[in-house]
Amino acid sequence: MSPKARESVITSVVLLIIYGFLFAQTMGMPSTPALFPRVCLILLTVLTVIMLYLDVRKYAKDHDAESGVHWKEIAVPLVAFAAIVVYAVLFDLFGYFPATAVMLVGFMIALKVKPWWLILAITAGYALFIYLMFVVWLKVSII
Amino acid sequence: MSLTQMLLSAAAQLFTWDCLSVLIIGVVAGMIVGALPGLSASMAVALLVPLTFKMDPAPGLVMLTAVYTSAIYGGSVTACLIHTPGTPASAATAMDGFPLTKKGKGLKAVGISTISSMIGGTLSAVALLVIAPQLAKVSLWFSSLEYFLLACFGLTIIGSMSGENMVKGLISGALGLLFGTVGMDLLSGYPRFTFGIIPLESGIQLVPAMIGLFAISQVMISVEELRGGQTKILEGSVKDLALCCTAGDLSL
Repeated sequence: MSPKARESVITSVVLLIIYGFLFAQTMGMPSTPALFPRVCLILLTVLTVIMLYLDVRKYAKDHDAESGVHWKEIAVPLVAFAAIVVYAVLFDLFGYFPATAVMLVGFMIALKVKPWWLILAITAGYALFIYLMFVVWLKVSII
Repeated sequence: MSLTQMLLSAAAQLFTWDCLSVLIIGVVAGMIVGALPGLSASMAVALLVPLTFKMDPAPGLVMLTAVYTSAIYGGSVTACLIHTPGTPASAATAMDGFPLTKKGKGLKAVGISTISSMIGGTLSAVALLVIAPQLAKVSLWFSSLEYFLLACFGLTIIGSMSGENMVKGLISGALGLLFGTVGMDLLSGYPRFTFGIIPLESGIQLVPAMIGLFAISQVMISVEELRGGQTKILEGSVKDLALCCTAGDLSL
């Protein structure tokens, strides 16, 4: 099996497991609210099986087809996503302005923005703009 | 009062210094708010409602209308330039506008969006003025059958958007329908797929979903490109600094 076909199989199996889990969730619901999610999940299951069949048929013999997922390539985006999740946690714990300042400085350092005064100026300017526009002018309470 | 008399009366109220000044302020403020991802046009109106309390009715309504319409347009600026729609209405603009920006034609993309928004906005305003009463009568004939067909029409759009891989397009559409079921069921009031999280009971809101789908995914793509040594968003040089576009640019 080519890497591309294996990738499609893994993706489809993961999706089918998620559909199964969500379908199990609908078993605890009354029949009326459970109806539409069940219809959607059955439709998704059928479509995913069709996608799996088409992909495997297309790539099974094509050993030159390269996998679209390379861990080296997706490691950095995954770290960026984790940083956004941490930002959301910091947002709840310390409030908007400290969390945003930490995230902006962290991202700019990680992306090799230089010099240091530019990092500070962008962070301070952004915080000042948001504070003046929303807190002072529009009287919106930002956490 | 005839339609002509009503138009003349409205024009007399519009072309005053009060109305024109708040119109300009509203347009600029709406474009800024619309360009900020996460703030929709209705939020812009909600934020500015307290400011209009002390105004006369005509300037107040002009300001709110200007803010709403320009915020819808403002969303397309960031949609074209950084692939992050400022408002949900600009989601489709990001798909066409950002590839133009990557080719160095960002200003042209914004120009086309501006002119298209102006044409669409003007035609809509004229339609609202002229055929809205008749259209309202037609809408009263709509029953569940017509709503179902309207939903089917919406789903057929997936066909035009999914390109070569129709099945993946249909899976995306079905996933959208499934995500739409998250929250309180309208008929029975039963919370679906909330997992005990109270904010999810009102469903998945459009603005956070849009930020997750467009802004965060674009951040991840940009981070990958920047860490890989690419220092510019553009694939080539900036080719056209003209904001205006020709009739050929606007043709299908």
